[in-house]
Amino acid sequence: MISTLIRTWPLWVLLAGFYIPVFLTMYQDTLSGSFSEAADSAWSALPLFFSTALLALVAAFFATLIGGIDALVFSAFRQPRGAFLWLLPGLLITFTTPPAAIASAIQATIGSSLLLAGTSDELGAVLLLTLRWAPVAFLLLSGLSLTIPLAQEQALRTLPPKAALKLRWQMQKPWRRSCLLLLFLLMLPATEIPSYTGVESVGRRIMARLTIGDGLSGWWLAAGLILLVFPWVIRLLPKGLWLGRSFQAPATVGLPATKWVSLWWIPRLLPVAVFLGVLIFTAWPQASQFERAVAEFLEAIWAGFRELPRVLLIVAIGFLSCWALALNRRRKSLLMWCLPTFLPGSLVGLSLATTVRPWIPIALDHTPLLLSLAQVTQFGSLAVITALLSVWMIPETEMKAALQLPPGFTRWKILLPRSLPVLLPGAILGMLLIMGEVQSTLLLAPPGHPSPALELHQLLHFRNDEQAARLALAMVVISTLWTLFFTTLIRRRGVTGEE
Amino acid sequence: MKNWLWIILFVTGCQGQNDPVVTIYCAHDRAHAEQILDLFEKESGIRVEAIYDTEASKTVGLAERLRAEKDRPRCDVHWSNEPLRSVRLANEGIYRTLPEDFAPGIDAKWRDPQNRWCGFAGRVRALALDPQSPAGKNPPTSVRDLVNEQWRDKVTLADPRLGTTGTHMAILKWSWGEADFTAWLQGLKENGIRIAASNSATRDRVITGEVWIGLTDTDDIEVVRRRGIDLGEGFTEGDGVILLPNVVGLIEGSPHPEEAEALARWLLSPRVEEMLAASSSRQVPLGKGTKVGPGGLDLNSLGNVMTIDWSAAAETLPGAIKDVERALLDR
Repeated sequence: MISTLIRTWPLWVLLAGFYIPVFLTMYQDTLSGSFSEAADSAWSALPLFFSTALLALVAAFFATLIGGIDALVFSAFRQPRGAFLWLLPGLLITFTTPPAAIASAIQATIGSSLLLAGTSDELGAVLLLTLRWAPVAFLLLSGLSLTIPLAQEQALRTLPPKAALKLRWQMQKPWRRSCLLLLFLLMLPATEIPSYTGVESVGRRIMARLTIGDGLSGWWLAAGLILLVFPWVIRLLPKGLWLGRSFQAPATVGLPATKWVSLWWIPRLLPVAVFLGVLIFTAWPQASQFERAVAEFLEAIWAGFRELPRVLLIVAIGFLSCWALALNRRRKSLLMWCLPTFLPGSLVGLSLATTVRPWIPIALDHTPLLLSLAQVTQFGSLAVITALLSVWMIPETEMKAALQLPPGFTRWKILLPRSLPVLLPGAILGMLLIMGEVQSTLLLAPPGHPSPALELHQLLHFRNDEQAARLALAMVVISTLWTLFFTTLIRRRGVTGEE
Repeated sequence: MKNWLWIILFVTGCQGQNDPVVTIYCAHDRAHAEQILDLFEKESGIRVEAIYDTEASKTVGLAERLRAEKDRPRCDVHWSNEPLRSVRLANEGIYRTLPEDFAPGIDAKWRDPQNRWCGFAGRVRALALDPQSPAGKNPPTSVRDLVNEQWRDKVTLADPRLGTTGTHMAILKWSWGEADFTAWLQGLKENGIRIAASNSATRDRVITGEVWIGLTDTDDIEVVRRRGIDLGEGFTEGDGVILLPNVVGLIEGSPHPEEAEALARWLLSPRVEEMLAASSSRQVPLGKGTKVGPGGLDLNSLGNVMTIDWSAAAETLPGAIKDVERALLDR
């Protein structure tokens, strides 16, 4: 009994943080709500499911396309000198900075017209979603391009650059398809970005239902979302043996060098440079307020760092759980970890606050225990993707040898270090996302708990643009530091035993 | 095992403090509310732990948090920036009755008949007008006018389900009746109304000239005017000017009831109303004899202020929200 409990620990976190509170709240809302009204409401929202899916699909297509080209240019050529200092942080900034800061920067300089892209609200939403998710496509596709077997990679490097590029693009095709599907699924529950452009989405409709106390309708809509997502997630999760595909050293030997690479990176990073310029310009204080502004900026950075230990613990639990499941090929359990990501965070936050909070000791009420639990489950999909990639990265021979060992600590001791080159960047990305998380934070954070992201939203809500820009800049600094940290880690640890 | 227990006890023990403390959930502008709460802290010696609200389109707001925490409240005082959701919270048993002697200067029409909440310092629903456009020269005086052909594609409003815009919709439905209200929504839809993310985004679309008229709050307009931006302001006197007070409610079963009363009493004082009236949010004081400085808005100067049955209007809120969804947001 006890050994079963210990063996299934990755699922207990998930059950306590998501499934049990969600089912209990759903049950309570079903008892108190009107079944026919909820059904009617869900039925009338059917066209909304289609329009949300279309929006997500178009944005996922463009994000995958941009991310795919980024990954191709990144992996097929030698990059300019010192590129790791600016290229990766630059490419990731639109994902690691809260969308509120980006939307606000656009609004502060050009006005909301750009958010609407001048012609239609949907186009603005597609542009913003593409800008946000292209870095994820880049990371995924770059990660997958590292799984090209060593011999194949070396052969590619001997080909003429144009032919090699064409071949790499073709090799990327199945991954692009999976990436498109994944981004589509991740964009489906989006609420924040569509809200900036005035576009209605299923996620926003769920929020609206909750704000009028019509929980049952909210749950029906959420169930619709899960029904839409579920078959695709099953399709995405790999079947069969998940054997390693020999992680490549990121050495540049044999890669062609061309000055044309900059022709892609310059226009690609131009929006990022403009965004940073706007932030700095908006945040720059008048002479009389300089001292106060510097103090605000430093305080924001400090608040971000104060959150680090908690955030580190959250990603450690989530990512290690999923890694352990991926290693043991627990497909159904991984599927269970994925699902919480596809529901708006507010639903999970409300469920935990309603059902679990009354049971926890009052002394723990001042700790961010429930918030942490919600966030562990909320980024389940990211943990699953990272875990799968990190298992794939382990060289096949090493994986086969390790599988001969009994499951448990000994096996972990051998395999975990081999997965770290992928687990660490994924975990750092997770940390940055948790620090930018707002939905559960507003509902579960104890009073006085630092949350720069929530503060940023509050400042933007009331148009305190200067203060908000300082806070956003502090968050950019934190995310850049972390990106640089993981870039260094990859550069140092990315060498496999096959070399 | 024992060591772990000690660590847990130490960590949780560190949280406990003996100073008097009060927790407030606040939906008012953080910049202004913080000043008021800091002053209270300084003068009363009671530490204030505040959680501020954010935009409801990204997350459900603090009202939902109060609902979720009903069985074991964490909050002592709720400072809401509109009354209808407070009425609903009061009806759900989340607010307790206020002491009898609270805010004697505030008229009965701004407070709950059962004395579970009390309004203070309000904002007016207003039209932000592009001064260079025809709307700036000849502004509409009723929201009914917004369906006229001359304003086609030139009107915007914030997500009509949320915040004060949602409240405005519920009040219109209560005031006009369902048939008139849904016909008006249909007229807006046919006239190409645009939906913005928030009241401030609504105002910004007027500033950029993308639209001529934005349905928003007076504080959103005033905050940019004080930065030197030329923006017109109009009240909908034809419908009756809609004034939405801030609301204070005390939470039933809250952990610090005495401190909560002290803070609520402070918030409902004429001094706080005067501070809010003088701030860039330009709130309208509701207390008798409260002074309004130059440039401020006086209750008596607003003209035909609509008298609202808050309880009845709150009843229409869910229905009004579903109506606007069907008419304006479903595609």
